[in-house]
Amino acid sequence: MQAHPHTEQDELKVMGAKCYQCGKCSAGCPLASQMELSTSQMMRQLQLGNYDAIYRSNSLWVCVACETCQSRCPQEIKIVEIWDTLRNRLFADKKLQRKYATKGAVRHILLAHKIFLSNIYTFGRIFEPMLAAIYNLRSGDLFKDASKGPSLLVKGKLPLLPHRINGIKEFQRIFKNVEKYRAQKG
Amino acid sequence: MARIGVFICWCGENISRTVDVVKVAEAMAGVPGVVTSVEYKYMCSDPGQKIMKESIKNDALDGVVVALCSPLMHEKTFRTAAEEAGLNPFLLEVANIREHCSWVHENKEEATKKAIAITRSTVERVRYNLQLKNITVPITARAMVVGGGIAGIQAALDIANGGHEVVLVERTPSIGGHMAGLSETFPTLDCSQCILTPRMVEVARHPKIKLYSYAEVESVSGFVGNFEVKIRKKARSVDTSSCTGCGICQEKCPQKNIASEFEEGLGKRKAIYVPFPQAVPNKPVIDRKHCLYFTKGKCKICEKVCGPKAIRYEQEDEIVEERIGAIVLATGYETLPATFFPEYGGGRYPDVITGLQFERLASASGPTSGELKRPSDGRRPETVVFLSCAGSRDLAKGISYCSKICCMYVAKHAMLYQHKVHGGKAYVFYMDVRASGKNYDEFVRRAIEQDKAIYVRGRVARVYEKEIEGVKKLVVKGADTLLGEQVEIVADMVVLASAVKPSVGAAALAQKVGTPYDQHHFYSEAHPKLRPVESNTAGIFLAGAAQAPKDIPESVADASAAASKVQILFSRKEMERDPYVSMVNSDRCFGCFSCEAVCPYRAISRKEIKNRSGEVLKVVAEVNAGLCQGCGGCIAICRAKACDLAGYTDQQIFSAIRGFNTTSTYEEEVVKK
Repeated sequence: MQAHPHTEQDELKVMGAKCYQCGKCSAGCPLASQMELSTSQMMRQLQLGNYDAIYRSNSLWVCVACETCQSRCPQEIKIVEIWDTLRNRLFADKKLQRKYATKGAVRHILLAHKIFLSNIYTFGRIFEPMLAAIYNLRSGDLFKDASKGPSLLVKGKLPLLPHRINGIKEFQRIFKNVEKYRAQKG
Repeated sequence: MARIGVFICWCGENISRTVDVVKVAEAMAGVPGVVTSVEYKYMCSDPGQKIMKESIKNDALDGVVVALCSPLMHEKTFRTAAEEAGLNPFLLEVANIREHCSWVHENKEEATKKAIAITRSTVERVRYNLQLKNITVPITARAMVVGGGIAGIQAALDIANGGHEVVLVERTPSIGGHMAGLSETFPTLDCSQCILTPRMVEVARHPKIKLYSYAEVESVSGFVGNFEVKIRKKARSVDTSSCTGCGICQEKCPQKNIASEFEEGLGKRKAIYVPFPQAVPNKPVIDRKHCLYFTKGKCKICEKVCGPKAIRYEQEDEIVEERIGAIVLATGYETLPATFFPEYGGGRYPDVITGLQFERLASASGPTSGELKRPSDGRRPETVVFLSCAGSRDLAKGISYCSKICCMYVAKHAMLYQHKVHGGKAYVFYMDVRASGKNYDEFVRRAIEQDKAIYVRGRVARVYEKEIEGVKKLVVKGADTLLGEQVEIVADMVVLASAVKPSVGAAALAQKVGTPYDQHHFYSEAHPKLRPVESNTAGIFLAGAAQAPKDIPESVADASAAASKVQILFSRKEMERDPYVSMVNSDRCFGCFSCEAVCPYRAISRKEIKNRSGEVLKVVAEVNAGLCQGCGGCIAICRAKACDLAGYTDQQIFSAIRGFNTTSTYEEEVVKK
């Protein structure tokens, strides 16, 4: 059996320290059945500073941030904020990505996330055919969901030409500012 | 010129290890006004005290400083010794050179300097000490107990059996409190009413107890030993002296669909009613909000059927005055209503009930005569889910504390349920089981092992209704945190062990009485460990769940403790108190009465200053020494600097502060004076 690691105190651990493991978050979570670690187990791992276990489980990526857990938490812990920070940490850290995000569902989720954002960056909104095409190419699963294409086309749900929003330049500046801010923060 | 003696203690090695005691004594000997300065190995020993006593007589001292441990330890010892030697005890002060100096420092040189400064400062202070006298206050040996639950009943009986008169004030029509409504009690499962009702009857029959039921405390003035209490006797609309309690009025009353408070809303009562058959006093009350005569102007059936003609529609609230020496607050608790829990469907689903409602369902005297039935359709519940910590330990709901009694009554409920519905399934969702009490944990184990209650560790997130085969069921969504899995239970009934909080009006009563309460409105005790049943206001005592969540044995123990404190107070005709109270200089006071506004003990009154011909020259503030607790609020607010605290006058304090900064050989300011 693995001993409890004693890691250094950090901001997230301080936020997690209030958790007394009542399990109300896990009880209400609509995606709990898909998670390898339940919400309260994730909080426990966080209290111990066991980030390895947190990133190894799929829970961070299954969570849809519906905030049911957070709204019910009797200790008023900002659970979703904690998870967002955990995801951002991984996203900003190539080393962590190599360790935890090179295979399986996590890789696909991260890929989709990146392609989605680059799509938004280009058009200011989603252009579905391009999103699907790039995702299928890069994930290697070329014909994923391809059979749904024709019926979506017939119903007019898939536009043939992209639509750019007005003021795309200003919009893209937001992205650049975020990048700049990230670079500053290191 | 003052004649001050300084006595410095070694305290074995405790002080002398880090403080050069001889040096301190030498330094003090050089201070103007100090006639004698000696050190001794143990000042608190008999020979040590003797040195001081003899010096007081021989050197004709008019001020004494003893430099030793904290005044909490030995101030009383030395003041008593000083008094024996013929010195006013309040002319003696303690300089704390142990806790404040030797114990917390290592460097001997620096510590000695500090010890000199502390002692010197105390010498400067003692110059201005006044000859004070303890205050004596006469005591009315008559107690008032507010609240007629088990705590109030026990306190009233104990005080009355001690030979003192007791006034018991109960807000509802009958005494008995929550305990009268409980089914069986943990951890013995004895019937609650069977053990309570003899006590209730004893209260009614006791010659020393005056019971005001259906009455509330209107106002309290005065101070310890001398309270003047006004009690509002709410209009009962029934003349209790002629009513025989036959019950015919209740039988004939046509207004019958009123939710009964005693049955926690699960049963019905009439508009004229006795809350429950064993009520004390067993006299009915007309509920004027629902009575047809009071709402529509006609009916009067009760008056017609009443044999002894005891109905009094015209009766009005009556204010009675009582002189009281001590007050016991035993106002008890209530639990959060089911409607407080929207996520559990409280209020929307009739089968989501609170623990107190379950007590009534399980009680043989309850609305179902002790048979367990669902409130919605009267079916036997085959599966019941008990949720502990409903609202307790829940910051988001504003209740951070543990309600303490729920773990035990939930186990009891699970047991009672199993005894009444054989083969039924009882689930208990819990976070922790806190069963610390004699035979308590054994009781919980019994619920799990013998009565097969299934304990699931986790908090429930949601309860919703679902119709299964034509029957409305409740789906409980929880988690088993030990397995790390979600749990869904289809139940017939959900019982919330809802959080305990003080009764409605607890804070308002505390304000009337002038005693502090905490952020949850529980009454504050004077010391959490050493004075648990006393409040910070002299003469006000606390009993039962009004102070914190408590179970029956604790409430009873509390009540007896409070009763014993009351009897200690009543054991003397007069009581003595420290003279550290505020004094008002009426020459300076110009009557702004800011002090009156800030005084938390209502110790400030107004005094008229008249000339010889009786004309009022001005109105000034006056301190009632019996009420004043010496908090100093008036002194801080007084813009005329007319208020001062005996024993801690401005002159004493400033002189003491100055004492820290003067060298021990030259004392210009004092010499000038």
